[in-house]
Amino acid sequence: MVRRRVLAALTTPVLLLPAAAVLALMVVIPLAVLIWFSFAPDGSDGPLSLDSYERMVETPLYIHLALKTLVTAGIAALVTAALAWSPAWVLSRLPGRTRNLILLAIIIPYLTSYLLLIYSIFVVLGPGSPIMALLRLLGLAAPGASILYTQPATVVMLVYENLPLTIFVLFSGMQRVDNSLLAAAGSLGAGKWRRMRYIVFPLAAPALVSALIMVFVPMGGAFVESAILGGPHGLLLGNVIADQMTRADDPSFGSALSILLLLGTLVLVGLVAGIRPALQWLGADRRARNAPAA
Amino acid sequence: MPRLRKTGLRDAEAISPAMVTMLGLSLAILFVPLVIIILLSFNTSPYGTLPFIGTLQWYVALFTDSGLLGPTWLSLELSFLVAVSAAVFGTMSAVWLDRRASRLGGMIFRVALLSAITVPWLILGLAMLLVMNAIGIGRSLFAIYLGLLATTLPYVVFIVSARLHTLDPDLDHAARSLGAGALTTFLRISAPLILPAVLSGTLISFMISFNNFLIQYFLAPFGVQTLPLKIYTLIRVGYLPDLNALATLIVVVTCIIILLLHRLGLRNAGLPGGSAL
Repeated sequence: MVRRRVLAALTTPVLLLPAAAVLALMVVIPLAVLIWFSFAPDGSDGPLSLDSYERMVETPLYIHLALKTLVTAGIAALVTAALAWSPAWVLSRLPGRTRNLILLAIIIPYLTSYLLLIYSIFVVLGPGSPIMALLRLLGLAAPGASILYTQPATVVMLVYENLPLTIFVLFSGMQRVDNSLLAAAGSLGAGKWRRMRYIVFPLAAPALVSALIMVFVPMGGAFVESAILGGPHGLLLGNVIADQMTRADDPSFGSALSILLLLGTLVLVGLVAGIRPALQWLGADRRARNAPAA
Repeated sequence: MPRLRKTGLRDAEAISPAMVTMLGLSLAILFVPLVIIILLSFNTSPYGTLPFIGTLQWYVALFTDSGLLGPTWLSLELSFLVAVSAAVFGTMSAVWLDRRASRLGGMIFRVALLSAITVPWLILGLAMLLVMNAIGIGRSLFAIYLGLLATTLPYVVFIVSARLHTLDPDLDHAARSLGAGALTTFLRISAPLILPAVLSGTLISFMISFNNFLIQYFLAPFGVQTLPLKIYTLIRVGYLPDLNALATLIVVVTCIIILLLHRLGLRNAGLPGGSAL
């Protein structure tokens, strides 16, 4: 009996210990250290101060860079969602077998190393590639032209690698939209566009919000895409943070910039997540005011 | 009795040709680059130029005199170790979360798991580097192992907990009332039922750690190259026919893993929006 009780008491630590230790050492403590370092400009022994944040705020370059990063990620996220909307809807209405086949196919690029994806985009967009040759043949591109090493190339890459995930998330939200709702609206005279706008969009909005958030956060931390495809003027905040931490050896300033990026991302995510409740609140308000008149 | 009129809209009426075109366009965007790489891996020209003349020489080159095999093996070994560890530790903590966790303890653990996948890996990787340097492990293979383990654990825990959550507790009660101990009950009753979820978690962990460039980039010791790091240094050189061959093989392996995941019947768990799997 005693033995059994000892065993039961040991279960929790034994089951939890390895995972908790790894998470503590590689996630919780590092993030705490990051915050601490951002307040310790003179290394871990020095006094705490706001010097790193002052330097960050006083140099317009970094604020500008943070804005540019968030805008780039925001545009890429919106383009991805716009591109994924119709495919996700069509997939949600296709018969089972065809749908599953296409969904399984879309998982291939989703699970392929994004460095290989970057490499393939690199080859596809390069001046010597078959696609550019085709465009030149059609007179759509100047000889030797390519969008490689420009800001748009970074956006193209971010959209490309996040498209599968966005399609999945939108698809799983749209699957729940019942055809009889569409039929009802149709029988009352609503066309395709109005049904999409007033039935599908509101019902799929939660999925849209989670899709936007799920792709926007990693896009804000983009590093490889801009380093390889973005060219000299395409660097984003992530590149500067990595530089400060590794080459410039200023972990305090790098940490402060990381906090800036995290906070900026958090604010935008909060805004996106808050739009719908706000709109609903406004909508409910308007309906309440209109109700007596109707 | 009057025949019930069909009130539903048929699926085909809910989609328009323009939308189907958009689906085609998205699929084209997703697959044209991969298909081009695969085709070019069979092309003779070392610069990726036309005309297309079929050859297998780049596959021969890949296995004889390219520098890609070493990094590929390292990545495979590392990801295998990480995936197995993540499966074991992740399943253990999922069982704890489902059966033993206090409300507060479970919440703290879930927040830690969520931070591991929501904080951009760039920031997480750099923060890991700070800690590794501070405690003397520094940039090393062991640091990469720990870092990848931390980023894959959440996936295993979430997939396995989802499965555990659907198990009927009466099965356990029945086993216990017939005299089986807690461990026997778990091994004989729960373990076989969650096995598919554990395997899915293992496969997904393998893919994630194989592909996670940022954690590897910041924690790799100088001179040690995993496959993503190798591609990163090579990519600036431009066109690489033997990399095309390797990419083709990796896509083939990815397809096999996806089919395995599909056979494991994973639904509504694992990959975000993975109801398709």
